[in-house]
Amino acid sequence: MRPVTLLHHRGFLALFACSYVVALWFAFLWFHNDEIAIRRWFNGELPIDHEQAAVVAQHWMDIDLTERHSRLLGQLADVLLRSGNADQGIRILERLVTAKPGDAALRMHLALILHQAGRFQDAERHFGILLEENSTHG
Amino acid sequence: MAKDLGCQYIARTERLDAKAGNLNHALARTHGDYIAIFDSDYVPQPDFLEKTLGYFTDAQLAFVQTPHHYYNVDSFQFRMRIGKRDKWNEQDVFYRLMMPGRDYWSSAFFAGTSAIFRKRALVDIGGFATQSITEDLLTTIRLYRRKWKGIYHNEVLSSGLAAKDLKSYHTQKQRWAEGNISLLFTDNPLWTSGLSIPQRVCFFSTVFGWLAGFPALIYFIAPAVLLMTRMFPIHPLDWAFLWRYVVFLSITLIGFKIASRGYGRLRYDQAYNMLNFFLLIKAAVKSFLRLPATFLVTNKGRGEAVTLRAIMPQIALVLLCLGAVPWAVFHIVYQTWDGLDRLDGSLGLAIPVFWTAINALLAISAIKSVTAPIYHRYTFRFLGSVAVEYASETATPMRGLGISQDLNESGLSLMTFQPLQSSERLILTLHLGSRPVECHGAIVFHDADKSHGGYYVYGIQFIDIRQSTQDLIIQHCFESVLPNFLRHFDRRDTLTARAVFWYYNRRRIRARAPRQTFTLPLIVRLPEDNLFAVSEDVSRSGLSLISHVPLKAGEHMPVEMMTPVGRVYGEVEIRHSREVVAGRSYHIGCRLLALSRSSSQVLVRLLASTARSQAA
Repeated sequence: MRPVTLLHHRGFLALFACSYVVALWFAFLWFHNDEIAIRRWFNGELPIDHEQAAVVAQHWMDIDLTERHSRLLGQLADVLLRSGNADQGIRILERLVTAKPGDAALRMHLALILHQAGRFQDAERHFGILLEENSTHG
Repeated sequence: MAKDLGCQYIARTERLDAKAGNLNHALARTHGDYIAIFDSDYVPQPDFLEKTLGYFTDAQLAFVQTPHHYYNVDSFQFRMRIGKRDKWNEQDVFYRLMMPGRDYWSSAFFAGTSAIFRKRALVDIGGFATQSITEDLLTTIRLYRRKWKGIYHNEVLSSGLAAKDLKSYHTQKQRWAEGNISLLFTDNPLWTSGLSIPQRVCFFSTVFGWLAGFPALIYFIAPAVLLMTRMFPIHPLDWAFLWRYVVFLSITLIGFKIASRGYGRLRYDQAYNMLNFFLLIKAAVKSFLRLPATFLVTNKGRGEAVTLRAIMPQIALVLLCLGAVPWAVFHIVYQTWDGLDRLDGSLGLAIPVFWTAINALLAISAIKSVTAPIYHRYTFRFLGSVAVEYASETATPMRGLGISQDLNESGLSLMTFQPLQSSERLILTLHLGSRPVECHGAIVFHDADKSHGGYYVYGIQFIDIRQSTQDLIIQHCFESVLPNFLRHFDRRDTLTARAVFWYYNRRRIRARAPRQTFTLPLIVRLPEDNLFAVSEDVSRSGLSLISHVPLKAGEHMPVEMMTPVGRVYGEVEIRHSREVVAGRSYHIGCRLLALSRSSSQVLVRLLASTARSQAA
């Protein structure tokens, strides 16, 4: 049988299509694993795996942030803060503020979190920047 | 054979400069003023010279080019809808629309075959150009540079064989692409001297058109890549963009429909783009790298089965596109697609999914068309009907009049109105115009799918057929069957023409008895002889038929028509006699007169029969 004749074999095509979709599914899960995990933790659909969360946070700290990445990192920070991993959460928020220095709401969020965590000097620095920006923009 | 026909066959031992070398070799050994050029698979119509030589009264005219046409419509290059009398071939748009357009701008070019040249013009430019594997285009440019003229005669006057398999087709395409693109480096039409501005534009567009593989690749993969990467080139994707996009798309589609005047089929054209894009990219890269190109002769034989390697780019594209769609579904399921609740998010998903699905379908359609099992006969059977008298050779006498559905020198598909015995041997009389020829045939196949409603279709193979009979059949096929086939299948009414005809004819059509397509054998009793003919359409008040002789309008003559529901005897009045091929084939319109009661009933039953499509 010539290989090309398989293209007209319905059984082969059905089997191949099923295998292909399953392979794609696994590839998708592997490729978007972090994203899916963050969304599930954020929505409370999955208990937080601190170890995995830390790995994801570490991994995402080093990449160039797109809008989607920023949103997901924000969600991850929220998840970490809720789970009591304040240091990791703060580090992520600081990364986000570095990437978006003009985002006042984000900076305020970070300042408040720092304040709650007892890191008053760091919080003061961010409050100062916010006040300065506020006075500059009138 | 050449000697028998009073011709001289010139061959050479070396292969230097391929086809151009052959032509130049013969050019130096012939003495005529005009040279007609045909590829070895091409058969000119008898009136080829009659219809082309007249143009040469213009002393500056170098050549007359006529359309390329393929008669083997079973090639994968054709899309046939027999019932609708519609055929599509990839090259129709070029030869029936673009070349006449180029002719308007004095930019028609010699296309390698089906042309006639003034020898003096060729001698003036030093013969056919040998510096390119597409000698035709380069020769034309050189003729135009020397202020010679070319003309395009837009009428099919010869027919050849289309490549039967993908390998041969791609060999041909690659040669054309490499040859044309290489002109950019040898005789670039943009700055070569002596051409007019329209000629520069036309020739550059011809060359540039062969670079279409690159944009095609982008169109084919971009939607799938967008789905998989979620990277969108348009932001924001909102209504303001969307309505402009819909207007643009509508204008493009309607514009294509109007401009292609019935010859273009968007779906088929795109399927062929799909089939060729990788080859064109390969040819372009090869040409840009100035790698040596070879003149490979296109195989026009039986056809080879396609290999996986030949269609690997299309398979890869199918996998990419069919992978991108489930990938998008996974995004929805796992909620990893941003902004699905917003317009930009949902459109960002819907638009690429739509185009990815379209591209996947195109790729599948292209693969399907070239991987279909090769069931073609070695020699093509012409689609057309001739009246066939048959009689069984066995002791049980059985005779009748049927028609062929297709025909060539080795056999025919015979439609009868009575069942015949399988493997029966028949004495056949084929009414090939004015020449009835007798031969023997054996039934080798009963087409049960087509045999119902009083029709019986059999595959017949000729037995011990003489060469002279075969020659007569072939001659009739090219001179009469093929032009009649083209009369139905090569006619294209534009959208505007159809609308205008519909508007002005609608009342007339309503009032007239509707004509139905019936291909039935009939005998017209002429004063001196019987005319065996085939009907084209029948109504309660008239019929039309194809005859090898013109009949005089106004004359009355008896007619006998065989149908699956009985015979019709009556008299007809000839209303018109229109030439299909001068001296060989005429379309005759008749009005039915004086039908007996039983014949009228047969006619009514025939017209009401649900098996009408059988005869079509």
